[in-house]
Amino acid sequence: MTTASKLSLALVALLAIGASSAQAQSANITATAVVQTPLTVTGAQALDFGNVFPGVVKSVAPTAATAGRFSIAGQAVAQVILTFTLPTNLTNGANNLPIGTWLGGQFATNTQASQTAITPTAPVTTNLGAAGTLFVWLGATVTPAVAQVAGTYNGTVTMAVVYTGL
Amino acid sequence: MIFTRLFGALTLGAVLFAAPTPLPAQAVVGTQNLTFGNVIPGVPSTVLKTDAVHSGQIRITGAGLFRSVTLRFTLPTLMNGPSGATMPISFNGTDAGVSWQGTIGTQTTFNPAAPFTTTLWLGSGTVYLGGRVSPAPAQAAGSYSGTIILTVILN
Repeated sequence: MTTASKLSLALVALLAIGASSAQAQSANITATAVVQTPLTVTGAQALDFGNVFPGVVKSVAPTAATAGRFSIAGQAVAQVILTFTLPTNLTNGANNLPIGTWLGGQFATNTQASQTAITPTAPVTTNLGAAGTLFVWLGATVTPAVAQVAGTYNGTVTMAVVYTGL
Repeated sequence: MIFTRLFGALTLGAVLFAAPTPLPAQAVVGTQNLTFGNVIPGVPSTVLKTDAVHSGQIRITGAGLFRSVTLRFTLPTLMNGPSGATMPISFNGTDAGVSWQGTIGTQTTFNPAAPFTTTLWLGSGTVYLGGRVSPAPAQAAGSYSGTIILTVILN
């Protein structure tokens, strides 16, 4: 083998070694997320009209002691949407007692006198308080007929709460 | 004899020009984390690789003109949170992209779960990554994180 050939073979060998060494670099990034506090909603107090007389309209204001109340707990100051399902009648068997003119109020703490008015017949966008709480009060009006059948009438009010992500 | 010497000289020149150029230091740099932001328990959240603000981004430089490179991700399956809590994170076959121009709108899509070979025509480029997290309905509140590694191999 000539010197030139040997040199060529040696250089090819060196090239092979150089090519097989990994020319690689790595970098890291981080995936991050902040999980919010799950929402809890509690029906804390029933909306109670008490004694109602046939033919006499009776209202309970959201500021009244017998107003309905929900309590919400979740992520501090997070934005939420409140959606209400409101009955149009209270029932006693087959007997209906019309209910309507729904009114509402909200406040970050359980301080009924400080509530801000809301309209429960449409979705309400609001924020939880600094402590992650929100209290909602409901009032309405029942309209008994003159010949309204006597008895105890009941209905269900549902409030759904969801985060908006804001 | 003359032919042998000429052959030896030509071989020497060819070997020198074929020598590989190593990547300079800091040639692969993570420039933006993959950020899901606020996540609601029970609600999956997705970040697209085309999201300029939230997608993960890694910049490659110094690879040399017309350089073929292979990109390989090491991806987590869980993010770690408070008190040992974990949250699933996943990546699908279109969650990664690479742009030799370095612009988010010109990226070529690839599957981050498999090595991908591409050409960095100008010796540089940017890799983009999206993904999704799947918090449980009772997911513990707090900050979660996971490490993503991109390895760039010169071919």
